[in-house]
Amino acid sequence: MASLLPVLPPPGTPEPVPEVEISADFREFRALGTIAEMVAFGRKVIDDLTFPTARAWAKSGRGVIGCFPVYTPQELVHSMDLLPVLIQGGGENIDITHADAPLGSFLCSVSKSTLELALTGRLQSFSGFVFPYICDVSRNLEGIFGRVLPGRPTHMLHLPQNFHSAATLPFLMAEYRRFIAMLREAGGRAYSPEALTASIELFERHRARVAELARLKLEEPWRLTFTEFYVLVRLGNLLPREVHLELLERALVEASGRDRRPKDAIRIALVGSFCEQPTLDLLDLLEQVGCYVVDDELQMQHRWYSSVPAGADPLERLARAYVSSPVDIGVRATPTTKGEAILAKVDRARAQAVVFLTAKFCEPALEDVVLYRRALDTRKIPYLHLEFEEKSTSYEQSRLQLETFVESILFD
Amino acid sequence: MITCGLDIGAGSTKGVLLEDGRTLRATALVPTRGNPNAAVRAVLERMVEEENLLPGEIEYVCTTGFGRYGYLERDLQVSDITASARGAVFLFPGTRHIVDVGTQSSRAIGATETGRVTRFKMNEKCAAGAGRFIERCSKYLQVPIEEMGPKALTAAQPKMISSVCAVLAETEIINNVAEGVPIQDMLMGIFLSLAQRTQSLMRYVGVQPEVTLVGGLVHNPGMVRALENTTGLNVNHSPTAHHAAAIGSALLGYQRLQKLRAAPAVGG
Repeated sequence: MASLLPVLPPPGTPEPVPEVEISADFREFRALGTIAEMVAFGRKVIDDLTFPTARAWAKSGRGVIGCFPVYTPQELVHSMDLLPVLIQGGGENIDITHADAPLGSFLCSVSKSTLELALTGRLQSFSGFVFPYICDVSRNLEGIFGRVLPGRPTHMLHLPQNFHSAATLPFLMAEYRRFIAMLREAGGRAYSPEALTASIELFERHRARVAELARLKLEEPWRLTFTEFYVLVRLGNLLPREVHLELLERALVEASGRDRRPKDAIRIALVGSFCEQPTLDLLDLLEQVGCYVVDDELQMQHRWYSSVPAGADPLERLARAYVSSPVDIGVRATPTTKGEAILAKVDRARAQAVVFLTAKFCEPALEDVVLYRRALDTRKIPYLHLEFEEKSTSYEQSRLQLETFVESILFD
Repeated sequence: MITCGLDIGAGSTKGVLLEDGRTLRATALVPTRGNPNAAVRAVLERMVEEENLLPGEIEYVCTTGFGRYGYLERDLQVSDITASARGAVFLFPGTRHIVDVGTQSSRAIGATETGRVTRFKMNEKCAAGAGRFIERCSKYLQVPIEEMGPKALTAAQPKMISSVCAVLAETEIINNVAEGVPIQDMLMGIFLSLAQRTQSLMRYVGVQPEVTLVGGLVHNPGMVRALENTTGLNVNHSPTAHHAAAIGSALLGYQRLQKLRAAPAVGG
């Protein structure tokens, strides 16, 4: 196997300059009173590709685990006194100058920009990385990370795709034990069922708040914009859950009490962006042209299951929660139920239409679009398919298509 | 009740005045020349003067085209896909499929009997599928645009362009010139190549007669013939169909105005 050293920046290359500095106790977030303040600061935190929240956590000498999308049992990471941080590429704020060498041309942007983060020294505060096996690209990325960041453990998490076998649960629990061993290697404290039980309880409270915010967006979408919703939820994948929980509670109080007039907009379910994230400008555009996004797949980590089932063994409870999850997105192999899943999603969201927003070259998402479209055609539910890349700069074509789509529903 | 539709395009700005959503009172067209605001002013002045109207007699203005957000006096803006479909059905009520080869991009649009868009597909990237390509060919071959169509109709052995990229297609045309291919054969080859690319958009939408061509290429008999030969269908076209998007926006403006009058809007 060829060495990757030639793609590393030459010695003397200046280190990336952080733009946001956060204290070890995250007090900056506790000072954010309004949603506007949370979103403005949140956008800065998301845009700073040196991961200020990871740097803040690492100041106390504790480890940070970088999690590639879509789902990682973060309760487990938390219980071992490590901070799980979702790494979802570099968005529009990074130029790919090194990652093109080991990764080919026709691959998704998120794989390249994530590797670019590693190759340009932006992931220094991370002590280990986990890559759930969601596609071949993620599998290869785990191997590449292991070689370009020696000394930091990397782990490929094999999540089951067969949810009906008697072997599924024991398999997943064995995988989680393997993951625990890696977390120990990355500086986590010893696994304890009591600590995991406590972490599960905290995450349950957190999930309930995220679900409440999502319910508000579903029932009264005019109370907060989709961008506000998205930034608030995405922050939860960067912050300690305890800090984010407080933030969400304040945001919920404000959003529920807002006096805003409902717009003449159509309700849409946004499908397909479960891994690579569209730019905020593109998300803004959806509501600018007259859509209310009432259901989405953008930050599924928090919404994989609504609650963890009861039981004596917390590791088994966590595994059961994953296996029994009703989530049916591109990275779960349930081809026979895809059609039913999209129709159920539309019904649940009372959506008038579906917008497929898929990353270029994202095979799991693109495969599902075919199955989804067939099902939507049977019920004459309108849909529109747009592809995006992290580095998109002009949205005129997308705007035109979205406007036409909305107008075709608004004007009879 | 007079409503105005403005199609502020990259190449030209078109305007129409519509009376009671039924009668076309005036049309006007001026080149945009990179200054949409000046073009809009010129179009409006021309139509107002032609119809001897007072400024207040135009009760609603709806814009479309790439510059639809630029005209600040508008009441409403709609996408040119929505507007073209409405306009095409207004001009040819049997229309169920609209082909719009605009300067910057081409679109195939499926529509209901009311002109509501059902599906659409546009070429997103390459100028080889859009009107700008014809403009460039006109320049390279030194044949004025208005002469390209009639000349193409005399072609004996059309010379197709195989490249899907506008830049490579131009190189191919230059090679054809060097090889001495008759100009009319090259012209018809250009239109047939454009028609084939348009047909792939049409297939995605699902071709349903009647097909109506809208936009600037309605004036080009070579393109109409190429489209008919490629699809095997009659293609509705008329000089007024150049204004289809402006007509569609005037119609949607009329619909909206009626709704507003029936139930006045409350608050902001």
